[in-house]
Amino acid sequence: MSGTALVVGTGESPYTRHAPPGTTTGSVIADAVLRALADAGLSIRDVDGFGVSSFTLGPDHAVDLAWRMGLRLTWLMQDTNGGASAGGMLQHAVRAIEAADASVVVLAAGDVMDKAAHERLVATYNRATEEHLAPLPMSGPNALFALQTTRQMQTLGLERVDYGRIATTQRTWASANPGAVYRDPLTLDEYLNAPMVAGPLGRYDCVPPVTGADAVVVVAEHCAAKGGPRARVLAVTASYNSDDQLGDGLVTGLASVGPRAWDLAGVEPNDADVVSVYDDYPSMVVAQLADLGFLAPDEDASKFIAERIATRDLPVNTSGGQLSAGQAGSAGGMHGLVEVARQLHGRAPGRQVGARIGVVSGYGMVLYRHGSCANVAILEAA
Amino acid sequence: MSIIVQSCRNCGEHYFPYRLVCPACGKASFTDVEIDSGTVEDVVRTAADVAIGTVRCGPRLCVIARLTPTDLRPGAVVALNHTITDGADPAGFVPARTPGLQRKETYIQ
Repeated sequence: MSGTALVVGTGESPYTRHAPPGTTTGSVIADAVLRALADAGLSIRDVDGFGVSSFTLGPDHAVDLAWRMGLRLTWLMQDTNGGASAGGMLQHAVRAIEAADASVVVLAAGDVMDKAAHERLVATYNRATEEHLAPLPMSGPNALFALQTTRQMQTLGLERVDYGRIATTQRTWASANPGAVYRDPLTLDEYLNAPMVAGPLGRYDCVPPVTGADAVVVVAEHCAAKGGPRARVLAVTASYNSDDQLGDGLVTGLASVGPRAWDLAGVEPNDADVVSVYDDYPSMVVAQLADLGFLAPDEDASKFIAERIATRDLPVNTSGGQLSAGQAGSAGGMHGLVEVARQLHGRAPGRQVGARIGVVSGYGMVLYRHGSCANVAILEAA
Repeated sequence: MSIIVQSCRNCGEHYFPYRLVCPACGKASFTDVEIDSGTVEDVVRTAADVAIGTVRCGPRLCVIARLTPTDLRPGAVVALNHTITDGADPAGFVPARTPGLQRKETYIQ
């Protein structure tokens, strides 16, 4: 990848557990888009490419949203891959910019995710869920990831306290992020004694659904203002249906497409200064860090969590992640990209790390047993 | 009692949920077969005291089932059904395809 595309702005419509009346999917996405453009010093009139992902946009589509936001475009896409939507759209946007189909692209994701919307989403996520999981009964993927976590505990020799270190460390990061819905410190005792959702998963292993939206502005080099926030996209690689749902869910598609991303970017895991991995559950943080090469196959995973993540030696999910900031539906994947870009832009006050290389992974779309989509983006402060 | 799963007419591989094309051989001609039982690989219990488990039925076939009784452990062999059974015998409930989508045979070629 030639690295001609740069992320020059980020925006997040404030996450809320209970959105004010009148809040719509369109209104939170438009809010995030305008915030990202303002961050980039650009206006809606500068935009010629738009990509959006949302579970609750219907009956509208990307073009309806574009029209209502006053966008006139030469490139448009809509993505349906939930937690993997940001990386997928970024992969396409970089190509569109390289091909000169567009030069100022806004990528956005967001949802109104109140109780009713969340229940509807998890009951009708796809045909397999509707037919074979919801009637068990199973409301949402918690039990599936409880099974996956059980397998990971056996394979890597992890215990609940190890996952607790991930959740409590992310909460510490969240305490410095005014955008996180949960910012009060979380102790290991509170984590371990929380009500069980589906053993071994307790309350703090599961993301709180929120209403909100995230957006980034991706532009061609000639449109990136000197001196403004700039993060060059060095590589994006993606994987879909890597194991046909036949595996144990402990290895994601990142294991096969991660190495190519490092090759294209010309850097290695040791060079990464900040990482956002898709944290729908702490076990998935571990799985993605392993697949990306941060945790070596023969390494003690418990020790890695205690000595690298909990000490913040490796800054992981510095916004607090979805576990503390909240999961705004499809914006869950975009949230990590926004945070890494903010770190590379030097715009993460209170939690700023010295960052040149940032890594973002996306993961999502449970087909039947576990997620099927995964991607990784590697960016460099520019 | 048993569950209905999909079998590839060409290579005999079994699938659940149903596929459109066989990922093993690339053909798209299937028939239904009955599976009577499987072995519990892992199990969790939800807050509602429902036991959910992975039940392996073959090298490339496993299903997500509601297990009864709820204290079943990995390694247990369970009878598989498309209905919930309240008996004391180890059983796994696997919700069937919705009737509107069921077909005895599928020919796409």
